[in-house]
Amino acid sequence: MSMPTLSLAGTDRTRPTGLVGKLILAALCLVGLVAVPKVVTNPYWLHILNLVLIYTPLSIGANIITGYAGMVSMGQAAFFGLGAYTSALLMMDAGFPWFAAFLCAGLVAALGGALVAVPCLRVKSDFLSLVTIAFGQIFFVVINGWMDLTRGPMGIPSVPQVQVFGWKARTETDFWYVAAIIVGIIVFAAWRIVSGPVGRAWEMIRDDEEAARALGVNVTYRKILAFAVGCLFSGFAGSLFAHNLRLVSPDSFVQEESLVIMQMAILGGLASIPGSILGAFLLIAIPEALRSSIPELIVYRPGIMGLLLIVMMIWRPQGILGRRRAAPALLLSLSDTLRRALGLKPLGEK
Amino acid sequence: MATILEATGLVKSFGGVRALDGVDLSVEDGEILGVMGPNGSGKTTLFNAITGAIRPDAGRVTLAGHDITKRSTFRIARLGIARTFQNLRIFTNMTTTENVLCGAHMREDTSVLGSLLRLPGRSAAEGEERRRAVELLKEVGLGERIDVYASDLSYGQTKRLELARALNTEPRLLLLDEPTAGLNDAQAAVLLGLVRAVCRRRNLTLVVIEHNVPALVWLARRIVVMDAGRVLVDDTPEAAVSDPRVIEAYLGHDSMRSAL
Repeated sequence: MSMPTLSLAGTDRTRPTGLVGKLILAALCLVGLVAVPKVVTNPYWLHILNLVLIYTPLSIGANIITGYAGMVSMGQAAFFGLGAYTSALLMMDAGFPWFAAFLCAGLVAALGGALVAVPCLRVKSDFLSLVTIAFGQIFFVVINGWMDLTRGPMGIPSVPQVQVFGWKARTETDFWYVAAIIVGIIVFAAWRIVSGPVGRAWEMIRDDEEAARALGVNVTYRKILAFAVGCLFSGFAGSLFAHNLRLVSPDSFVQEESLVIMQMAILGGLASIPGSILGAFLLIAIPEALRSSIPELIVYRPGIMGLLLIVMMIWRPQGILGRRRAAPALLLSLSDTLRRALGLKPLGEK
Repeated sequence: MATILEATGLVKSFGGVRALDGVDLSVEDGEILGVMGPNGSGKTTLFNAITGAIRPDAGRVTLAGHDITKRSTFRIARLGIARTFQNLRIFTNMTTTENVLCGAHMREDTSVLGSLLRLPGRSAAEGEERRRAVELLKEVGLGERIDVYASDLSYGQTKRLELARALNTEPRLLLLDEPTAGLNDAQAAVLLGLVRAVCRRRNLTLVVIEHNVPALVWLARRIVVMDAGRVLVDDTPEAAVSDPRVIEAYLGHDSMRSAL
């Protein structure tokens, strides 16, 4: 039967985790929070880990929309950007304290996500991806062109640092503490949402909309909710990003960025929160760490990842930590097509 | 006895084909109604029209007096109609227990805030739902297959799983679309015996589409025979299957001949 180490892949999510397991996990998180800056003293390496933290909610957000609710969103960079700009502008122009700007960044992105979801629901799954790409492009054009608000291609420089009650996160170490706590809470919240009835309803929709409806699931509402929750997390990530990099410019939120975010969610594992963390780590930490020794890696990351994903689609369309064939229909049919082209049997066939 | 479901003058065309051509049907509270008819006679379309999966071109469906004709599928489900599907719609990426838990969607607190806060009482409620799901699995004879991936079940077992999932919605009216399709006679008899037992235990109203005539005669209190989108005969089981019009409708269908 299933080994306990594999339980992260989500073999059975109806069984409550034991108290001991929860305590061990909490202790590990606490040790990690304190120990990482002590072990990783090089600010550049710590910056990379901070980037992994920033990308984790993005990856989780994409996973909620794609891995759980089964809609392949290809415009997540726009919600990331929406959060980044909202946070930076509210703090700089409206004088919001950072944490208030951070919360608003999430809410604005969530609202944006819900609004984008509405036209998305009117189209079939493959066209949904196109609509999200289009939204990403529109977002880019708007922030690139709205000089008065966003300074266009020049971007907004000297975005203030993260500040909490007058305390400023001046160094990467300071940022680590704030980001690790916030991202820890986001991961915990996301895990609670997806492991209960809300996540189950999304997975019902992903696997069989008609059956979901027959069991009383309001599919339209649940899809909009998936976009709203997923984009809420993206917006939070945007705020962390803006105040860590201290520059928001349209270049950070291009189509390629959406692709990387989606690749994280898929590679790490669809419908798996640990998978999303793994995906963020693999796609950010490795190319960034090798940036100086193998600069091509980061330049060609989308291409390399694309190849990797094709390989993944052939043998494991649900990603590394995803379970069974828990993937959007669009990806499953892609997997079947690729396998047939190679003379292999589709994975679902016995 | 009170009428729980009433359909009047249901019409539905697909292209030039009239799948439903003025169907009238009433279901009494607590009865087991059998629906039979040759392939393409509109049985599944009738189920789809009742559950809102398709919208009829004309006609009216009422559930306990409420007009549900233009309601969406999920709202109709919430009013207490559960169904199974002719070609099985099981969530294969989930375990058996999770599949049955899906039936609890309408009862559970499915708000994001509720999931986040997990107030005291919630985990007790979740434990209760899980216990209930396991009970249901045992009731349909899947006691040995708890927490197994649904895709690892045999065909007959998935049929039972779908039944357990539908029962977990605690319906007032259950619609089964060919529950024994693909099963051999012995398996079919056992499954229909199970269906009758679970319905009796709950005093549940059942409408069942079934091709196996002797089994249907045994199970149902009344049989409706459909042909070409119309109700041909609505009578007691014995009278319905020996009606000359029914034999006429089936003429050329070997399955029916041998069945009789």
